[in-house]
Amino acid sequence: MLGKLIKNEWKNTYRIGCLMLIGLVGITFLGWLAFQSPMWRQLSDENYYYRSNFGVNVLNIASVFTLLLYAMMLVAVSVGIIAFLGVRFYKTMYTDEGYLTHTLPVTEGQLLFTKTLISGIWILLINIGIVLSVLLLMVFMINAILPAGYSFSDFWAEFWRAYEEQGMEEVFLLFERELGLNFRGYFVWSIFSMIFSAFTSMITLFGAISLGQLFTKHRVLMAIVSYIGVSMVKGICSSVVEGIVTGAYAGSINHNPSFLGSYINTNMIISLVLSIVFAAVLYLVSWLINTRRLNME
Amino acid sequence: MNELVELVGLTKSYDARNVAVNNITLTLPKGKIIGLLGPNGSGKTTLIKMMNGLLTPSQGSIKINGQYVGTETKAHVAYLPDRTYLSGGRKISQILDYFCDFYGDFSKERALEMLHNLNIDPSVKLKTLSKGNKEKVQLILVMSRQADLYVLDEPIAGVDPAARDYILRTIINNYNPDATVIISTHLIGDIEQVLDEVIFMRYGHLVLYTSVDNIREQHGKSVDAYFREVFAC
Repeated sequence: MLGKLIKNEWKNTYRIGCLMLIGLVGITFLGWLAFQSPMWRQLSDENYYYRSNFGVNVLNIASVFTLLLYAMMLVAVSVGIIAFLGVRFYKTMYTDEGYLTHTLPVTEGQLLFTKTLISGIWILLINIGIVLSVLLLMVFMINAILPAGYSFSDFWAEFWRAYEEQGMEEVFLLFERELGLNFRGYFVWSIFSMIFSAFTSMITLFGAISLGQLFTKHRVLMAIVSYIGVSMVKGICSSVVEGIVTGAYAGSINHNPSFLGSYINTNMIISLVLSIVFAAVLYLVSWLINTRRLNME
Repeated sequence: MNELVELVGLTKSYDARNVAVNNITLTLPKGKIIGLLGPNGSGKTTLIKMMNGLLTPSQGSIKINGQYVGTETKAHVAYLPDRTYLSGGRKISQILDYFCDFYGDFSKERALEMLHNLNIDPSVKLKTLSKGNKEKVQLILVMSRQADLYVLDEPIAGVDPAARDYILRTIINNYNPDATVIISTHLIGDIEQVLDEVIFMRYGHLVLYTSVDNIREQHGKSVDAYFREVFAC
């Protein structure tokens, strides 16, 4: 039954999810369009402005507005997918559609797991799309800024040649050695964090929506209040723990800078542990509400 | 063992003053069509929701086929709620596939046949249908299952008399004869002819549970007339 639940949940979300991914392609095209204005080339070639025959001012203004639109639409997609998945969870679990959901011969645990898994996957896919879009925007930007006759691949080759010639790797290794840092580790960690937070963000949202169901009236409002409350409690816990860690390390870092890496690692681990604890508690809350306090009205 | 549904001390209270179902103890047999009757606000829907696991009882227990309400009972109970519980954006054929996926006792052929008899095209989206046809599609989905217990909450409320006849015919012609059908309604006159037994409820209490024949023999009245006498304002 779990497989069937997952299959049906995917079928019911893929249209909107794919639409948003296609939307990201369109938004990235907007980013490309924004860097077609001659004002960008002017940053590396001051004569370029005077040589161009375009209605430069209008193009410049349009370029800035297009970039602004790009940023706003990225935020809209990022918020939109969360809103869609949150509303879908609420509709299928706690409104009229919930009458079918909760009378299927499946356990509440299977329902919750399916919703979390599919929603987490969509958040992850959209986040990857956003990261790729921003990386492409950077490529467009570099292309636009480069003087005439230079391409991005020239820039990239030049960058790596300079990196090797200037011994930048040595510099990074020195940083790692002296400050106790691990840049490769941080890169892997940030990828892991992106995957992990896609699921914990959904668990938090679903937990808040489920908490709203404990109230007899204004359940949507109470779900929003619960979400704000949970976020505040999590924020306070993070601040308190980080404050304690910072206090504990402050003296050590002053005496020996190599403790900086250890300080960053400790903060990252504590942040992960807090996220795990909050996600586990909210997942349990959702499960308990659905198994013991379900009140479809 | 002929018992299908066992309710013991079943109570649902929303707060101290609002007790929707009050200490009901009742055993229902297999193979009967039972009317769950009572005026509005008597607790019929609350009782039905608890039997389907949509509401958690405040006290007491429910067993269906000897098992507490849960995954096992849901596989054998066909429930028709008093509202549209299907997503309007889905095609009827997709909803049929959904039921096929989850209910092992669902007959797609039977559902398609009933849809064909009503000239309802399975390739259309549910939201394009009229309110009456949406209700009929839901009933078809429920009655296309070979369930042990059919729980129908207000299946004939809000539809025209011709549609009522169709719905009642569908119920009678399609339910599993070994199963029990519970029909909740306050339109007693329309369903009286199909009932074997009746349950009267008022203010969350069980007022009466008896056979239709018993009412006719003992009181010399139809169920409708007797109901009006019992619940006279």
